[in-house]
Amino acid sequence: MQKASFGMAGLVAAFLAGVLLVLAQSVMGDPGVTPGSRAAKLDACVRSTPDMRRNHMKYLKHERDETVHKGIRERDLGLAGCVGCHAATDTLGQAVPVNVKGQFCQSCHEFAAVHIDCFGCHRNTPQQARPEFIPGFSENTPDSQRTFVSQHTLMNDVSADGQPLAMQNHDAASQGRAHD
Amino acid sequence: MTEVTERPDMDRRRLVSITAATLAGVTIAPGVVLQSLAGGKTPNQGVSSQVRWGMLIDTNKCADGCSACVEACNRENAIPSHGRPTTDPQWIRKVKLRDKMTGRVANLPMMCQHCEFPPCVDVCPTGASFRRADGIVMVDRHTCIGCRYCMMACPYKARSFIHENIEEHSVVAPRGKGCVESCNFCAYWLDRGAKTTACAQACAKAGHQAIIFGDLNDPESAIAKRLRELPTRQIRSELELNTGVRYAGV
Repeated sequence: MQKASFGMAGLVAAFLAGVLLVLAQSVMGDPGVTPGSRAAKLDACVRSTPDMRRNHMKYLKHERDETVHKGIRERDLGLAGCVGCHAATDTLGQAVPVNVKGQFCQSCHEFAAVHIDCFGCHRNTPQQARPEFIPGFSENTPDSQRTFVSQHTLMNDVSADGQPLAMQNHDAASQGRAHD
Repeated sequence: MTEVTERPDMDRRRLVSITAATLAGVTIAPGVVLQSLAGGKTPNQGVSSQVRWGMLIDTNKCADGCSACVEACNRENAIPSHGRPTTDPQWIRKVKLRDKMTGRVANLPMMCQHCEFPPCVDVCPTGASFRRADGIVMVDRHTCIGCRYCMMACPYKARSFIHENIEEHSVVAPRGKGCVESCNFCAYWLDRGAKTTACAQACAKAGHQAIIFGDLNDPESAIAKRLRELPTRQIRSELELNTGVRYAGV
């Protein structure tokens, strides 16, 4: 009987030690960013690391509503910003999706057993710039006049990758949609 | 027995809008001068109801066989195609109208008409379908449950459902299986201060100038000036939806 309770106490102690170790690591040591990402070269995220760990989902949700409903863009807490900074690059220089096993978003979410729904719709790698498709500006527009497109946008936010997207199947003269 | 009308009570809506506008005026009046946005905004500003984005389509200038607007929209908004036209999404399409009596043919692009009283917003059970302050009718895909009531309600068949998984996502137009979407006047660009859309720009570039985009509320804007000169109409005007897209020559 006494032996059993000792065993239990040992287990509890080992568990507490483990928890302390994880907490200590998260507060002091390992920043948790993926090596080879832009984030790994920076001192801090857009907020302090403990704040981001605890509140990133609230920040994302708040800004997403303001962006969708009020059109407020280019704030520092957008998802494209997260991906742009935290995506690692592989040996060929290609960006690695942030939601594959071992990468920044996935590793922590896997540990916390929280499913990430973001990337069912949102892009999981940074996107390259195509400033020639910015409406209102011709190809000859000098960079100095592209004032409304910040560097952040050019890094992360511009549409597809230079390859024309498939578009050939929209019948130009179709009289109506077929889904009725 | 009371008469059942299909339309919402427009008089009540107008009264509510006027009352709201009056209250806003009173609040703003003491010494505060509102800065006129005159269209464009900076990325960090919220959209304003002083602006109402709209489009004028001159069908006399819209060329038969030209699909520059459709291609530009597909490219800009990364509209996916799986080679299945019946279910592939589509934000803008070309329509050809032929008068059976006279044989006259008119071509026009058809897309979300950005109604002031949008039926898609009326029927949405979750509030995902909404009208932004600057008049753009959009879907908040974070709350869309994919019921497709809005697609049934839209008189213009302007909305599409995403039936299939998307392999490569776009930052400009995030989309995923199970949500409805439609033209948003390239809100992504307007929010950053642009004053045109991909389709209007492509039409001008193709040399047709059939699409004029701009602020309907600004009397000095090109679209407002042209609307004063040209006889135009709203498609399905009998529904009194006050569409943001107007057509000339049909």
